Amino acid sequence: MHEIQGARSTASFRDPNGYVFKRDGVLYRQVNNSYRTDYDLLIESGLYGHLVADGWLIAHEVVDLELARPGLGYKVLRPELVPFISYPYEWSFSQFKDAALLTLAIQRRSLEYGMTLKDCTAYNVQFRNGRVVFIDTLSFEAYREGTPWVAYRQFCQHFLAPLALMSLTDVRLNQLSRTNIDGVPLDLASRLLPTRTKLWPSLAIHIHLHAKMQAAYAGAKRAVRASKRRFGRGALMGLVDHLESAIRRLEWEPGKTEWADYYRETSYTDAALSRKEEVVGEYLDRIQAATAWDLGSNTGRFSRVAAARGITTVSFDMDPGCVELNYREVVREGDARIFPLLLDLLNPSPGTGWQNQERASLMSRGPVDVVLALALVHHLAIASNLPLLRIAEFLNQLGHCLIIEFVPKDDPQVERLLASREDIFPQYHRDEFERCFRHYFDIEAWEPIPDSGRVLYLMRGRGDRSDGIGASIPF
Amino acid sequence: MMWFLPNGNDLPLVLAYLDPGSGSLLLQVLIAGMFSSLFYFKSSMDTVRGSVGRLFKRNA
Repeated sequence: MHEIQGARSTASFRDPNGYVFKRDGVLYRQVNNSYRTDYDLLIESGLYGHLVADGWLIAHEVVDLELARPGLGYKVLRPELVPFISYPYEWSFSQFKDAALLTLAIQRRSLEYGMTLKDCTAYNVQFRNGRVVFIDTLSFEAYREGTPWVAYRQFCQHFLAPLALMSLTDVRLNQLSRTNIDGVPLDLASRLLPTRTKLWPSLAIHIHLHAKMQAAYAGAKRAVRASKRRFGRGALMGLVDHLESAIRRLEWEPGKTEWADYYRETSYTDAALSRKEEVVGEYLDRIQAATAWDLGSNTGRFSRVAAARGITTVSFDMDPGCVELNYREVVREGDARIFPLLLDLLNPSPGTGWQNQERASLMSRGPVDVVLALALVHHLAIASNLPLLRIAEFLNQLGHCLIIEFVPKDDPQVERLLASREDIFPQYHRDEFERCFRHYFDIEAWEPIPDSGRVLYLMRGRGDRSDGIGASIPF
Repeated sequence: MMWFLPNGNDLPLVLAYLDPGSGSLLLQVLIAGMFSSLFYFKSSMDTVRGSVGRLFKRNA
């Protein structure tokens, strides 16, 4: 067996037609000889050019074949990179919906060029410049007239089922994608969806009846005989249309979320809020960061302070409503540098899938140049009982620098947290906060926020942090 | 429509792991006619809409 040239991506092993690997820090995609005909058709038909020109598919350049595994490789590609790899369980409703619609649009266009998508996992879609983009160049194959769509099951499991559940049952059910790596099983979706969805033709067919058919024909030979019946191009186009209208019909409105009104309802005065923005901006200018993670970003007010300085900023929040509103603003304003994502800091995305490495954990996707932790520490320390030292350790692992806001006990927000519980936090004060954070950081600057007891700090982390497998990159 | 649809709780729990693909392919071919009709209906409507649109444009 030949050695692989460079380190193969831990997420790239299912497709026999090629794989992704990293060499000298550069990401490559090998195309195997087995994919030669399809790859040539993708390029020569003009489909690749059309998809790339519209920003639907990631571009690549063909590089030296010497990098390929001898005897197996047909081409080696160097794909354009996306700034941050994200997963469906980290997307808001509209992000998920846009990913689904992009996949269907690509399938429809592929058919126009005599090709079809052979797989439809949600992991083939990522975000770049605030918009969805398809990243798997090897997902295309020549369309054979008369055959059904082989990726139909995957589309329903990866996109239609989670979106229907988010829209009609509970938006938090996108977390089912975290536990089901090949999409939400349709029998499970069928159980969880409201009964009235059996009257919606699209969901009745693609979820409920589909689940019944899967169960009835699991392993049956009859299905093989039946599948020899023709499934014409018109039927395939009709299927794609039907799925698209089903997806478009699904809606979700955040309504009044817990945090979306945070800025309006907090005790910040306008002067305090604008001073806070100024100080964050000054600190960001000082450290010359290229990448940032804004933790507990709410609807992304301070992520925009970073993005305005050209910093690629992932804007994390645990509230699906905030992430949804943030993403809608990104789309509306064309913000290319802000990437809203859903994240519970107390239980961040773990490494999942095969060998726990197929989908990267949050920690392995860092570190970044700077972490913003604004109006966050009291939630971790008081609402979640996390010791300040552990919070400092965690934030030090995530980024090289830290801009953090200390919220004192007499702040109305902390008083609200303590209103319904016993105060078991005698150590929660500014001196102890600084003492704990000095274990991991040098405090470079601090600045009180007017009209409040809050203090903003700029800290520089100590100690080594190795790059993770999916580290954030500036673009 | 309700009568032929499965009740979620009647479905066998983990049979799908055997081969969920067969049912998915079969479902497509069984209702291929419906998808074809939808597609040709939509295409015809687009054509009609396009012609009417052009007609009005010309008259404008």
